[in-house]
Amino acid sequence: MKKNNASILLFLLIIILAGCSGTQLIKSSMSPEMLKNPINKNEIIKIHLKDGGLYVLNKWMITNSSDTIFGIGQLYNYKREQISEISNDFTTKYEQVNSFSIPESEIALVETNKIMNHLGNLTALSIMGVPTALVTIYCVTNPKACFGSCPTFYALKNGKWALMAEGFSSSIAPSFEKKDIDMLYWADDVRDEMSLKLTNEALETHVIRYVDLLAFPESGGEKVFATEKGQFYRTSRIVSPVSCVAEEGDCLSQIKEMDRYERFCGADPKNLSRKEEILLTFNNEGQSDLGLLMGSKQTLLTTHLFYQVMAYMGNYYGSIVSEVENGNSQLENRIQKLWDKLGGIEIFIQKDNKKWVKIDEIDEMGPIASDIHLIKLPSIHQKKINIKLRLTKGLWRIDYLALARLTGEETPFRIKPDLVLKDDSIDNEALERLVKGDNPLITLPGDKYELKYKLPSDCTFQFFLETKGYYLEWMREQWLEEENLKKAAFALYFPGLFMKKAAPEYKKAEPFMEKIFWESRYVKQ
Amino acid sequence: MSSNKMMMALLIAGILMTSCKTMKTIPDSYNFTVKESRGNPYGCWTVLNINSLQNGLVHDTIAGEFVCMDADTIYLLVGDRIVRPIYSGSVLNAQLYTHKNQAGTYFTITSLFLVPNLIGSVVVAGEFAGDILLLGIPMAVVGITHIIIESSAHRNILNYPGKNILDEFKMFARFPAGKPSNIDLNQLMLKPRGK
Repeated sequence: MKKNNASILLFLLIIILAGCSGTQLIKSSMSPEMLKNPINKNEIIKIHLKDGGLYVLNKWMITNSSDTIFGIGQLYNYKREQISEISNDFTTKYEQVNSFSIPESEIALVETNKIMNHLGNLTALSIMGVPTALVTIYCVTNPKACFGSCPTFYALKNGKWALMAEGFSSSIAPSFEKKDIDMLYWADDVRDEMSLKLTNEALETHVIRYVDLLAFPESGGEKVFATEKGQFYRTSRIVSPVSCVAEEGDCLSQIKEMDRYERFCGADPKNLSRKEEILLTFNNEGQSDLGLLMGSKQTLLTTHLFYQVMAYMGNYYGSIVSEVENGNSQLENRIQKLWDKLGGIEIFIQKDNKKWVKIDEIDEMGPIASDIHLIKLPSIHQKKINIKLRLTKGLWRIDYLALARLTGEETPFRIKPDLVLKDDSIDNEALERLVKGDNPLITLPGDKYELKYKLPSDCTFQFFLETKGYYLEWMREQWLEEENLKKAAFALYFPGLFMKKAAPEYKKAEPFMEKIFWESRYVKQ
Repeated sequence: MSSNKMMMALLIAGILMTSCKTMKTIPDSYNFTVKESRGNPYGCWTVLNINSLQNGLVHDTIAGEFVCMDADTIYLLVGDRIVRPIYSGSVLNAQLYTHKNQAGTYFTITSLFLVPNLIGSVVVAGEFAGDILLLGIPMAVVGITHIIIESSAHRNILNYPGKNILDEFKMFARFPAGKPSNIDLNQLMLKPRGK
């Protein structure tokens, strides 16, 4: 579990337990006079009589001018034999015969009883218990919504470990192995040494060929950003759009800062591949060499569909993956087409002739950590720069959109890890595997490594992470119950129709998926 | 057994152990439920340990319903039509049980909320068993804490001379205003079972 989540959970536990105290019965005595201004008129009172008798009144009343208490309940004699009981509805007409009339002169003592802490304790147990039971039932009945993730990286942010990046999320088999570059946007400025934590928090086998740091010396606040093709550009003068409009209306506040306050919407209830558009407008300050900055990550839609198709393949999943590995390019293309149906974020720019022209597409997969991408823009001569994003509804969370002036292409320092720790002990074998790359590091669910990098000189750097590898998702026992090769073939051969067919089930799970995913990631205890 | 399963097994064992609290035997009819305690017309069950010869040689334990208390005497109903007056100066220690300890209730509630985790891990979840159990840990922690506090705080017991003075027992008597005049205490009956 992420450290932040653990802190929140601990905080919640402390809040819940703070009021936890043993139940206590508090009895108080009062005079009939005090009953004229009671704290709680709904409280049960016991009226002890001078002859040893007792009224237990569930409802009662006394007026300022009266010296008689009226009430309904039970009357006992001193031997505690019940003499009479009145249980009619008590009305404001206290003179009516259907109530006890107790003259003050007969009263020896009025007693009130209060049970302390019991209700609070029951409430605390319910606050914790109801969500626990609901989440558990949901996970048991729909385990594909839980327990998933990708190779995950943490770095220090304000001195504490924070989730920063995920590696090669689309590399689901050896043939899909590829490198992945992620900006460590929130990482602390460090000197001499940089530390990263590498974890496997899913039921997956991660095969990691290398985890290199790409470092750029800091220069007067100018940030370096990477394009999808792995080119790096130093930037200056970053400006926010003057407007951002999606189908729900203005979304400017959600995309102005890289702050994990993201713009996203639900998937279409009838077609998971239905597209939507976001329109952006920037002031054109007449600069050349501009780039669009976009911070984004995926929702759990891809993960859900991937698990669903795996479940349909069932016992054949292994042999289907082997087919792909043995060069069945047709099958590989089918898998690729399925993911292409969801697609990336297409970026269009409005040219001087008002026509929209597609300039790039961002398709980095993964639901864990947002990454910032740089999209180089062609030169525009209009006063306003209009950009359109076209993306699948419910597939992307967009955190940040801005325009930057590019001041020049940069080449990073590549830094290999210098030390690898596993469970606080030096692991030279893991280090050798990550440095040489020909014999990759293999991690299993719950594995955690700390990687340390020596930095070249006495200055601060901005960092990117370059990883290469692939991962193998584990088939879950209960997914096998859904094995259905016809449905698997339907998904691969008719991806468009499959997106429509799968929509209702996904929409049922969508509202809870994100919460459950983050609460259920697997970390070895 | 995986570490997850082991941890959950330990938690469940913890819950079970905390519910195995020892309690001095009091009659069922005087072990008032929370709801009952607010409108119960009887006095609370009390156990007195007294110095019966006033010279410190013989100790005696007397248990019964707390009937009333006057300046120097406590009256306990120890059986039907048997009231024992006890000189309060001879009381060495006393316990009065106000209501039923709620640890058992909290144990039941916690267990019910954890049923989905237990069933899920055993029947349905396959290799997720450990993870399904882990989801129940926060609930188990909260539940165990409530059970432990309820069991150990003993806030349902007045204790003399530990945390209470004898005068505080008075409000829990059948006649908290003192012995009514003109009544025969030897006509009093204990609370019948099941009433």
